[in-house]
Parts: sequence; C-alpha cells; structure tokens
Amino acid sequence: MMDERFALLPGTLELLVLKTLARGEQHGYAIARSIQEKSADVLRIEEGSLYPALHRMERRGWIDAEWGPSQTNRRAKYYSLTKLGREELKAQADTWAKLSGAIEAVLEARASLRAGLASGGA
Amino acid sequence: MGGFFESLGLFWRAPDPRPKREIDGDIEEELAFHLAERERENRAAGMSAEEARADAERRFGDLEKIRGECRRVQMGERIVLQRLNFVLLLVLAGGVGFFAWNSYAAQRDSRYLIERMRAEVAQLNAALAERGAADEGTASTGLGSQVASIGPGRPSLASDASGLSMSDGMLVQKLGRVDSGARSAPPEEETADEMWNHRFNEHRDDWRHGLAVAQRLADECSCERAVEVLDVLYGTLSVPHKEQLFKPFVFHGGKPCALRVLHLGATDPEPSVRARAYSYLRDYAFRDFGEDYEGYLAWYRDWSPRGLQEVFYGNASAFLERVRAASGAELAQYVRQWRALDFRAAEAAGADLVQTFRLGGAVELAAGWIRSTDVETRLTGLEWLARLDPTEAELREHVLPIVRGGAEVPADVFASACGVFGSPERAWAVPELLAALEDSFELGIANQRVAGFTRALARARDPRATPVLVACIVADDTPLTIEGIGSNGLQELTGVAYDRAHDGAWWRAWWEKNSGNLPEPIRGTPLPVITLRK
Repeated sequence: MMDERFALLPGTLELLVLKTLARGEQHGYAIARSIQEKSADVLRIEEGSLYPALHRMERRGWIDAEWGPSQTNRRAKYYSLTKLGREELKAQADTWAKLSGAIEAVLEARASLRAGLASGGA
Repeated sequence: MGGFFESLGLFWRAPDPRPKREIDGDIEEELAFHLAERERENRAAGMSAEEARADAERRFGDLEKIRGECRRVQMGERIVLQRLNFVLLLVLAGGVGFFAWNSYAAQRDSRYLIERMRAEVAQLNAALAERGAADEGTASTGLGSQVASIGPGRPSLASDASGLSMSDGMLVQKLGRVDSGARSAPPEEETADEMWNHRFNEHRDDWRHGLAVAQRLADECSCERAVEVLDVLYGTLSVPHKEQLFKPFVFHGGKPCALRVLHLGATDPEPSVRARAYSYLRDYAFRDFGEDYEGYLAWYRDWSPRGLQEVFYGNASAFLERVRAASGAELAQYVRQWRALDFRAAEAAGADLVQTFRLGGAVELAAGWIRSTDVETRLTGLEWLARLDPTEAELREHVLPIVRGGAEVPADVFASACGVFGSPERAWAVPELLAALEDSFELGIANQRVAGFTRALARARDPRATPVLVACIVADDTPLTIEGIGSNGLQELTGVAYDRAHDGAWWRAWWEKNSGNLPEPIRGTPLPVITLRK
C-alpha cells in the first residue's frame, strides 16, 4: 500500500516549530504531537529529528528553554518563543506564502495550457 | 550559500559554556522523556510494553545519530577548527590590545608631560611676579633653583630648566602662557553607568548576552547599586535582554533586591516581559496575578519593603490559610496550583518552605486529600506529603495503608503511593512492600501491582527484594509477571538485562547458580515460596 504521508521540505521544520510555539511554551514531545495532529498525520517527521532543530533554534536565540515539571511529574525541557523568534516566524511565514503562491500560479498556468491544447486538438 | 553563512554563524558563536557532562545529561534526559511519553501513550492505547517501546523507538529514528547531532549543536561544530579560530582570535586580540595600550600609554605620558610643564610655567610666572620684573638677575638665579627643586622625576625638564639661559619671556613663548590658577580637566573616563549601558546594549538581539550581563551585574554589584544601574538603564534595554534580567536575581543566592528587579518587569509595557516577571513572582506570592495588575501593585506595596525570607514565610503561610478556607471549585483550583509550586527561589534565598508548610499544618492537609474520594485530589495529597519530608510514622499512617490495600485502590493512586517509598532512605519500608507484593499474588491483583512494587524496590536498592522478586516469577510464570518484574527493576537489582525468555525455570536456575555470590543478608538463602490465589 502506498504511504500517503510526505517528508518535510528542507527548512520547513523550523517554521512549523515556530508556529507551534506561538501558541505557548511546550516540551519537545508536545511539539511533535502538535505538528502531527495539526497536519492530520500527512507530514512524515522522524520525531527525533526535532531535537537537533530545537537546539539549533535555541542557539540562534529564536527560542528559549527552561526545565520544568511535566504533567506526569517528570522533568521536561520547555521551549518558548523569544522576540527574535516571533520576528523570524513572521519572516518565514511571509516567504512561505510567497513561495507556495508562486508555485501554485505556475501549476495552474500549465494546467490551463494543457486544457487549451486538448480543446484545440479536438 | 545561505547554509554556508548559517553554519559560519553557528561556528563563530561561542560554544555552550556548561561542562560537557551536564550538556550530555540534559540531552539524554530530554530524549528519554520523549521516548517515555510516547511509550506511555502507546500503552494507554492498548499496546503491550514491548510493542509500545518498539513503536516509540521506530518513530523516534536513530537515537545515537540524533544524540550526536544535539551534542554537535550544543558544543559548537568543528571543534578543532574552532580551537584554531580561538588561537587566531587570541593572537589578533593580543596584537590589537598591545597597540592600543602603547598608544594609550604614549598619549597618557605626553598629556602628563604637558600638564607638568604647564604647572612649572605657572610656578615660574608666579615666582617672577613675586620678585618683580626689575630684579632680573635674582629672578634668573631663583628660577634655576626653583625649577631644579621640582624634582628628579623628570630629568628632561630639569635639564631644560637648568639650561635656562633664556629669559622667562622666551620660556613662556616656548610653552605658551598659562594662567597660574588654571587646572587640567579630568581625564575623559566612562562612568560606571555608561559602562553597564555599553555592556548591555552591545548585542541587543542576543538574549544569551543579556543574561550574561545581568549575571555579571548581580554578581559584581551590591543590590543597591544594581537597582541604581537598572533604574537608569532599564528603559534602554531590548525585550530579549529584559526577559533575561530576572533569573540571576531570583536564583544564584536569591538577591535581596529580587522583588525590586521583578517589579521593573511586572510594570513593563511589553506583555512577554510582564509574563516572565509574573511567572517568577508566583513563587514569591504563592498566587497567580495573571492580568490582575492592581492586585499585584497592592501586593508589591505590602511586601517589597520586607526581607525575602519574611516574604516567603508570610506568603506561604497565607497560601496555606487560603487553601484551608477554600472548598469546592476554589479548592480544586488550589489543589492544581499546589502541584505547580516551585521552591527553588525560596531555597536560593535560604527560606525553608518545607518546615514552614509542615508547621502550618500542610501534612494534615495532604493527609486529608489522600483520604479523599477524588483520584486527582488523592494524587496531589500523595505528591505533597512526599515533598514535605515526611517521617516514618506519617508514611506508615497515611501512605502504607494504600500500598497494602486491595483491589479497591485505583491503579494511579497505588502507583503514586508506591513511588513514595522508592528511595534508599526509606529502606525500613522494604519488608512492608515485599509483604504487600506477596499478598497481591494471594489476592489475585498482582497483574496491576507488580510493576509499581518492583520500581519502588529497585529504587530503594535493597538486596532483600531480589529473592522475593525472583520467587514471584517462579510462582507466577506468566508473561505479565515476567515483564512487570523483569523490566521494571529486577534488571537494576541483579544486572541481568530483561528478556522475555527469562521465565520461572530460568530464574530458578540463575538463583541456584548465583545466590552464593550475592551480598548479605540474601547470600545463599533459599527462594521464598509465593502463594497464588487458589
């Protein structure tokens, strides 16, 4: 059976993490779950790959991390968005909107050309 | 290309300053938490322990590789190159420093020389004025001796002056006429406030830099001085720096001015800064101000003039009173809040909240919650009793009956109660736990109990548990018991890795072979006989 899930495009994991943290601080596991739930399980993420990305974002100053008790009373590392992170989220979301809009426009143009050719040939 | 600059950025950024062991420990704990959470959810969804673990590991990916990547990010990439980089930077900085110092020293020397010469000229002018312009010969002799008396420190000047065959008019013409009352202007030095301003605002977007400077401010200055500096500078700080300002004053010795520094944040127009300040204030006030700005101001007026220990003791006692007086939904809210209380700020300030709560009757309160019919309330009661440094008598009275209880005790409550005994300091409870474990087989509830018992016994690290746990597998050779005991603690007590093939016969053979080498008091003892429910 075909796997209906898709691997993430390079660089998009950070955007998804920033967007997830915009709703408030969360630990890594909650971030992974949130992304999978929000994408209705369409995005295929190797959960572990989230952590190097989180640490990289922390070093860039986009997110801040603090240890605290989890719901199961175990110590967990909670991440929250910094001001820099909020600015980065806005910039990356804008870029993504422009990029996906442009790709869609190209695909639509090709589809209408194909439709035009098909009707002309008939 | 972007990727190149990105890695160059990380490359230049200083590596995490914490010891390697601490960084590794944090990474390990974070990844283990993820796997444990996934496993827990899988179990709740009905998977067996083995399936749950395997699924969690599959979803996670290559643990070793991810651990390595996290370490590389935290400790800086390309460590060898980075060290080389550091040496080059050091040489460059040394060179720049050397030239800067030379230039500064030369400037300072010449300024000093000029000042001295000006002073000497002024003295000469004054002497001339005193003796009168008419007596040129006398003045000339006097001048020579006076200049020589200025001291040997500046031979160039002395020789210049001793060779003064020129008239004082020529001298004044050479050095410029100076008013005898004129004083040199103070050297242009940075004031302390300017220095802190410069330090803070050097990297305005880098929160780590803000944290480091705030830490220095807290370490290097008295509290009064730190507040003075912040009164002047706070308005100029960037939001990332403001967000990091509080931690060094709240922790690391609990600075007496912590509340005054937090007040700057609590009254800041930026919501993220206010939220940060309020989250710390919760640990002082034992209440959540949320958006209750007026409530916060009234609280601050009352408590800010007092010492920190008084703040902690007073507010903890008041919180306890509020909890005691509450009921219904309000009490439920306090129970939730109670779970989130953090003692770290109080510990940093030397306030013993455990004793405060104990003296205020928190043990009785927790005991009341443990007796409640609501599971969440019972769990909070158990958790709180465990935090209150309970005595053996208190644990025997309030917690042991749950562990010894029958099928009517909910699984979560049992697991939490059992966990309270999982410590070598509570070795007195080991025989009680073992007896309760044996009873659970007789009562036919061992399936829900073995994992909790085994975990607590393994954490108590008491060898007396080993023969009883082995005997339980020998008696009840089912996969649930083999796994519940094997994977939850027998492994830690014996060093034998869990394997589902290790059934009763296997463990009996192991015991016969190895019991002679085990520590006292279990060395060479026969396995006890566990009775199963008929």
